[in-house]
This record gives sequence, C-alpha cells and structure tokens, in this order.
Amino acid sequence: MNDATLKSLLAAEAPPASDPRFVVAVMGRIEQRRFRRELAMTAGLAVCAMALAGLLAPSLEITWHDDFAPYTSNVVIALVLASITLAVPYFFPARGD
Amino acid sequence: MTELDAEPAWVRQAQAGSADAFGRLVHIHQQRLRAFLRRLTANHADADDLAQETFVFAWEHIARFDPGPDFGRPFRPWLFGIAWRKYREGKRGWIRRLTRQGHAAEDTPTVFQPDPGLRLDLAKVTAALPPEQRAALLLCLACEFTHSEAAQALALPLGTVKSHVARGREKLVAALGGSDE
Repeated sequence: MNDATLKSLLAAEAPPASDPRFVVAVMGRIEQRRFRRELAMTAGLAVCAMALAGLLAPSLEITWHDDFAPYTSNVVIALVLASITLAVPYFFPARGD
Repeated sequence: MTELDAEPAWVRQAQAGSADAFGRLVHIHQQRLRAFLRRLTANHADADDLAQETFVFAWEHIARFDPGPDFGRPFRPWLFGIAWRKYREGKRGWIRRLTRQGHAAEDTPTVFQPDPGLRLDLAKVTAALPPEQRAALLLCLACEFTHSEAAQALALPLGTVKSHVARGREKLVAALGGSDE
C-alpha cells in the first residue's frame, strides 16, 4: 500500500473544495462576535457616562445656569451633540468596515 | 495566478482589516482544515464547529501572524496550529461526549487486526492512533504538509513529527491489511 492509496482513502470523506455556505457561516460568526463586543463596549461606556453625569450633575447644573444658558440657544447645543454623534464612528471605525 | 499564489496578498489585506480578503482565505483553506478536524474528532458537526471557531480566532488574532521576510512564510501551519490547540483544549469535552455516546474513548491504543473481509473503516483505524501521531499523519498524508510545516503547526520537534508519521503510517498499513511498499 503506497502513500497515494493512503491519501485517497483519507481524502474519501473530505468536504467540498468550494463551500460558500461554510464561508458565509464563518463570516457570520465573525460579525456576530463583533456585534456582541461592540454592544458590550457601548453599554459599558453608556453606564460609565451615566454614572459620571450623575456625579457631576450638581456642578454641571450651576455651570449651565451661570455660564451657558444665557448665551447659547438649544439649536446650537443640538448641533454640537449631533456632530459628536456623527464624528465618533468616523474617528473610531469598526474593524472590517 | 493560482489562489495559493495570491495568498500572501490576502493575508496582508486581512491583517489590514479586510474581511473580504479573510473570506478568500477561509475559502481556500476550509476543505483541508475541515477534513483534518473531521478525522481528528470523528464527528462532522463538531469538526465543522471547531473549524469555524478556528477561523474566527484566526481573524481576531491575524495581526500576530508573522508572514516572514518577503511574505514567504505559509499561512496554513499557523492556521492549523490554532485548530490543533483548540482541539486539544476541547478534547476532554469530546471524550466525555464520545463516551456518553458509547464510542471508544480517544487516546486508547488498540492492537490492529487486519480484516480484509470487512468494509474498510478508516475512521476507526485513525481514531485509535494517539492524537499527536494521528495529527502528524493527517497533516503530512491527507493535507500535504511538509514535515517542517507539520512540526510548526503541532509545535513539535521535526524529528518527532517524522517519527509520528512513519509509525502512524505503519499502523495504518498494517490495520488496512496491506503490505508496505
């Protein structure tokens, strides 16, 4: 029995050379992991931001009433917040995008 | 240009974050990796699950792969090395499951009895080989790895791999009832 015979025996039940379903399953699993990781990171950041906001709320309120509210319109504030929201994904893109 | 010629470029692109390039790497390596794991685990579903986990791990850690000078180092020993480690890590789980299903536990050396009258059951024969010997044999015979590549994938000395392949081959030939040429 030579190596060629052994090779053909071992290759008898091999999967197909091209299997798009398997490739899609792998890429799907990768995307799923990435989504879960990003979701966990976003949730963690949100919790941290809420905690920080809670801690700083009293001093922020004073600063807001004394320094910002009399001079800044709500439209400008909304625009600044919208810009930050759009800029974050641009500067911190997800891997593979 | 064949797919294997294009591999270094796809590895480079995947390291730069291209999921499309990594998908091509999955496409060209999936057949041999799954065949290798199917022979190791003796269970198609578990092997395919392990293969998917291997590719996911490879994607997440592809920056660690060192392509060497001029991108001459092949990708597959690194990839199969991940699969081998994952198999070893999960082996206790496989053994438990196999035992529950009533199959013979792995790592149990058996005395081969040639039986040409019965249908050839290569799966049983290979499953009875010690895991490292089986892996070395499968890589070198079924996956066409060089001894050096197999040694890299299994993190074993080259001499050990050569010895595993020679002994495993002898056992296979004896078990299948053939004569060594």
